[in-house]
Amino acid sequence: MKSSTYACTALTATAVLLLSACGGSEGGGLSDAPDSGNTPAAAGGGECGGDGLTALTMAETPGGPLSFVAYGVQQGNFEEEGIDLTVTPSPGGGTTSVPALLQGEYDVMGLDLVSAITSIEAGLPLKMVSGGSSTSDEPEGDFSGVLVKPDSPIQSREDLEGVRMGVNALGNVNELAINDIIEENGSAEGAISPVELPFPEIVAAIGRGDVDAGILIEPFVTIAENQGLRVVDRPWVGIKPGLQIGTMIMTEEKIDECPEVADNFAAAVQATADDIREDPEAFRAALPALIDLDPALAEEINLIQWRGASDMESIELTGQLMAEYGLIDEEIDYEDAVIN
Amino acid sequence: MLEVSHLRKVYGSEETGNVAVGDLSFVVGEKEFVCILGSSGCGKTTMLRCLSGLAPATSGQILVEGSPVDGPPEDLAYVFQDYSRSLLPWMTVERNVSFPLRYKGMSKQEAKIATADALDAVGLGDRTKAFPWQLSGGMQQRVAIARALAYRPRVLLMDEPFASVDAQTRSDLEDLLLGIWERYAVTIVFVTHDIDEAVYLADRVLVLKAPATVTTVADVDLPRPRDQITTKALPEFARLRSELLSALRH
Amino acid sequence: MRTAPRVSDFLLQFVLPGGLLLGYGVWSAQADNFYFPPLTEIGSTFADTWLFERVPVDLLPSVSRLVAGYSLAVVVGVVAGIALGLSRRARLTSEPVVEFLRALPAPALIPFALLLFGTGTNSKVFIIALGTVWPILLNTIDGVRGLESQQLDMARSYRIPSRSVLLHIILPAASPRIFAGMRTSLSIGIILMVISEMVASANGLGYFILQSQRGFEIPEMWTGIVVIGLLGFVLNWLFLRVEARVLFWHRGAKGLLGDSAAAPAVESSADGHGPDDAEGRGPEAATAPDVPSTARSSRPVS
Repeated sequence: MKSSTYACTALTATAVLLLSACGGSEGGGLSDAPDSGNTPAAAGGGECGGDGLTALTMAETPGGPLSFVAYGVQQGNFEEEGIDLTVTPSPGGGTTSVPALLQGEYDVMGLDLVSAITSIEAGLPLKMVSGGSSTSDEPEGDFSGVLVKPDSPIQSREDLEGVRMGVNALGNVNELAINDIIEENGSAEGAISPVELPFPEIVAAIGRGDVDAGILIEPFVTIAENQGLRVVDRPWVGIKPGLQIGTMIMTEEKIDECPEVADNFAAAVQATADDIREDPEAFRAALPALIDLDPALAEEINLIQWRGASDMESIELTGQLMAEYGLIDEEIDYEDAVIN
Repeated sequence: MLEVSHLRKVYGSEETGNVAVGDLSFVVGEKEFVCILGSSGCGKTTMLRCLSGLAPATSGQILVEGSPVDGPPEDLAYVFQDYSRSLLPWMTVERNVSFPLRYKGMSKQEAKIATADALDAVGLGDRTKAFPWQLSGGMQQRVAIARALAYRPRVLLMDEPFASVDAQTRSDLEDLLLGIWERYAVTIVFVTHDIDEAVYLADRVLVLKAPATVTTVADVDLPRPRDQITTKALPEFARLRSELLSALRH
Repeated sequence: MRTAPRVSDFLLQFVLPGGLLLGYGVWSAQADNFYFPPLTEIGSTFADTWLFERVPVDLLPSVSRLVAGYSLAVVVGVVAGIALGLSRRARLTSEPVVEFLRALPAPALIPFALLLFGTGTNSKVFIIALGTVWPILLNTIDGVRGLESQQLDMARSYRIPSRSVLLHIILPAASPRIFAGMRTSLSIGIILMVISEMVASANGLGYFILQSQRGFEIPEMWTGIVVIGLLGFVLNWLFLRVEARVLFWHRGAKGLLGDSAAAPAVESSADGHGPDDAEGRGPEAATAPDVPSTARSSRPVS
C-alpha cells in the first residue's frame, strides 16, 4: 500500500511540474512570436541613437550575400551612417534562423525573399528594410543556373520533364522556378521532383546521376562548369529578369525602438550597391579576402546584382506566385511589409 | 556390457594438473544394476563424463558392448543430475522426449510409439502436452528419464538423478526406476551419495574414493522385487549399510 | 496469488495522459502562444492532415523504410550474433572492428550513405539498419554465450547434429536476449527513421515535420510529432504482444533457467499440476531482463 501512495504522489508532482513549465515559458524565448509587446529589449543589439555608433549584429546567407555586406562594412558605408555593423553567416538557411532574429540574437537578418514572405504571412512581426541580391536582366549574367551532366539528353528547359532536380532548399525561390518551368512546358504537376541537398552535394549528385539536374548558384555554377557540367537554363531570370532574390529584415520591435537606424541601414546598403555597380572589378578583387573564395574562381563567376532598395514589383510577383503555387494561403500586405 | 580399464583423467599437465580420475577399472554385466557410491569431490562426475563420451580420457580404455568409447556412444543414454537444465523449456514434454529420437534414425511412427511408451512407463502419460516448467521437480526428472528410455539405450548412466527431490518423491522414483529396469531390460550405472538408495536399488555397489578409484565392491543379495518397507527392514540391509558407511569413511 | 486486472487499474492508466492533455488544453486556449497552439487547433489540423490525407504520402513511406531497415538489422544481427557467439576466435578477431563501428553514431554517416546510395529510400534504409543492428548483434552474442552448458551436453550425449542444435536449442535459448535487443533497436530505428528523413528527403514523417517548421506551420508540425509518438507507441505495443506469444515459455521457465539451481517446489509425486497460471500473464510482465547493449556475460561458457 505504501509504495502505491508514493507512486501516486510522485506522478502528481511530475504532472504539476510539467504543466508549470509550460506556463512558465511566457517570459522566455519561444513565446516571443506574436506578442512583441512584453519581451525586454533585444539582447544582441546595442543602444540606438546616442552620440557614438549604433552597434548592430547581422546574420546573412554565407557566400555571395555575405560578401556584399562585408564589402559595405569594408568600404565604410555603414560607419558613415552611424552604424557599427558586425555581420556573421546565418546559422541556418531559409526560415530556420528567423527565430534567432525574433529572440533578439540578431538585429538584422538577410535571407531569401520567399522565406521572408512565408514568415510574414505566418504572422511574425517582421519588416523588410532593404533589398538583397537580384538576378541580372539578361540570362547569361544570372548567378543561378540549371546544370546537367555532360552527356545528359537534356538540352534546354523544355526537356526538364519527368526529372529529379537537386535544390539547396525546398520551399524557397527554387520552388517558384520549378513551377515556372512546369507551367511553361505545360507539364503535369510533379513533373519535376525536387531533392534537397547542400550545394556541393548537388554537384556530386548530378555527376553520379543521382539527380538528373540541379539548380546551383555561384560559385558552384562555375565550379560545376569547370568539372564539365552544362548549363541548360537560367531559372531565376526565367521568372522575371532582374528578379529580387534576397532581402533584409528586422523585427517590428527593433524598428519601433530605433526608427532612424532602419533608414540609415537602408542608405548604407544603397551606397554599397552603388559602389559595386560603379566598380565591379574592385568588388571582384575583394571577394577572395571577404569570403575565402579561390581568386581564380572570383575572376570567372557571374556576379550577383544588388540594387539597394526593395523592388516592389519583384516582391509582389513573388508573393503572387507563392500564393498561386500554394506556398502561402494568402498574399501579404506588401506596402505594410516593406519599409525600404 | 560396460568395461572400464585403468581409466585416467587429468585436467592440465600430468605433473601439475588436477587428477580427477586416477586409475579406475570395473566391469558391468548385461542387465546389471550397479550403484556407484561416493562422497562429493571423489570424481564421480568426471568419471561419468568420460563414460558417456562427453570428455576424452587421458589414458585407459572404456568399452561399451565391446566397442571403445570415442565420443558419445550410440547405445548409451545419460540422465543428468539437474533435470531443469537439461530439459528444453520451449518444448512440450512429448517433444522433449521425442526430440533425440529422429536423429537416431527412427521413423516418425516409431518415435511416436517409443515416446508414448516411455512417458507411460514413468507415469506421465496424461501430461504429454504440458511444458516442463509446469511440472513439479519429481515429474521433470521423470521426463528426463523418459527421454533416456525412449532412446532405447543398452546402458543408462544416471548422475544422482534423485538428489534434488524430497524423500517421499525419491522413494516413488526409486520404485519407478526398478520397474523400468525390469520392463526395458537395460543395464544401469547409477551414481549416488545416498547409501540407503544404493543398497535398495543395486545388484552391486562400488565405493569410489578420490581420485575416483574403486575401493570396495559389495554384492547386494537382497531379494527382488524390492519393497521400500520390507526390504529396508531386513537385517542384511542394515549390515550392508554399515559396511558401506565404514568403507566410505576410511 | 495474482488477482485479475481490475477496471480501476485499467482506468488508472488514463488518468495521467488525460490530466496532461486537459492541462495543456486549458492553458493553450488562453495563452495565445505562437509555438504552442491551442489543443483544439492541433486536433483539427491532425484530423485534416492525418485522417487520411497524408498517410500514403508521408506515413507509409516512413513506416516502410523502418520495416525494411529494421528487418535487415534483425537478419544480419542474429546471423552474425550466432556466429560470433559460438566462436571465441571469431569474436576476438572481430571485436576491434565491431567496437569501432558500433561507436559511430549512425546520423554521422548520413552524408556517406547519401554518397553510396543516393538520395532515395535506400540511403535511409541503410542508416536505419546501421544504427539498429548493434543492440541486436550484441544481445544475440550474449544470448548465445550464456547458453546452458547442460543443454548442449545433453544434445551432445544424444548425438544430435549441429544444425539441429542450432535451430532447436541455440536459437530458442538465445531468443529472450535477442528480443531484448530487438526492442531497444525498435526505439533507435524510429529515431533514425525521422532523422534520415530530415536530410535530402522528399517525403516521410521527418521531412513533414521539418518542412512544417520551415513554413512556420506550427500546428502541422505538432501533429507530425504526435503521429511519430503514436507510431512508436503502437509499434512497441505490437512488439510486446509478439514477444509474449513467442516467449511464453520463457516467463514460465524463469525459475528454471538462469540464476538458481534452487530446489524446485517440494510436492508429492502424486500431484496433478504445477503452476498453471504461467501463461495467463499479460504483456506488462517483463520477459527477458532489459539488458543494455553493452552488457557482457562473464559466464565460463565460451
